[in-house]
Amino acid sequence: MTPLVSVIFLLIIFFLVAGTVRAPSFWDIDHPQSSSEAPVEAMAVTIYIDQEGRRAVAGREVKNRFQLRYLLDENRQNGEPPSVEIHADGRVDAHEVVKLMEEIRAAKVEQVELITEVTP
Amino acid sequence: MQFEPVGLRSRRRWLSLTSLIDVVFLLLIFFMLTTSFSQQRMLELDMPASKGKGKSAWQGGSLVRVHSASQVDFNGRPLHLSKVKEKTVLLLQKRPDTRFIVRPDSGLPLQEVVQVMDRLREGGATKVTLVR
Repeated sequence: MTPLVSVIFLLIIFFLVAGTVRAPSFWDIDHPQSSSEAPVEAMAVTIYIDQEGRRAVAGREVKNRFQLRYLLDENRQNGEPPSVEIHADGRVDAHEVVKLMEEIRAAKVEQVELITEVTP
Repeated sequence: MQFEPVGLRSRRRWLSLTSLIDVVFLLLIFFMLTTSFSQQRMLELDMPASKGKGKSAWQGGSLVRVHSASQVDFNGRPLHLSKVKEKTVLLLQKRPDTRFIVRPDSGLPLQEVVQVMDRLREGGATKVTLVR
């Protein structure tokens, strides 16, 4: 039984070291691939857009821009608008992302990052 | 009250191996489910103030229209994707701090726009924004 335990411990250590623990996203999102090397900084608000352009914030679907505006205003820190990270699917219409950016800009948000994935 | 000699008592079974394995298996399953091996990076999106703040942030920017992954209009001139990088370098030499305004055609998948933004960034562009 002892060798079994050692193997399992090795597996655990492998998963700990080789991967990063990440909260599961609301939808299964294939991030666009990019050659960018800038590491991800954690932002105050995370917005997901799936392939059809549906949006989600904090595990809940956001149906319209008023709801989004409310969420962004609610997350203000010391009166400053929050920073935002966008997790968009690589196959979504780029106009959906631009539309989202316009709505984010309307909430006076200044720091926005688009999450990409390293090209394999 | 009677104390038992330490040496004798600690000879008992120290910990059941089966329960240890149970816990270790749980840990293993947890890490297997939550770990992701995808390496994420980010692209900074520039957010120019729409109005006010003196002259408009859109002024003096370079308009990059994206028709498809390989067909790009750079300031109104058609350009192949492979030439975008050198054009960006040239432009930044003339006017550093140029803002690049990327305007994709409708229906274009984000992946192709990101490819163009990659080329701009490789040419040294720091301010890249998206419009429609």
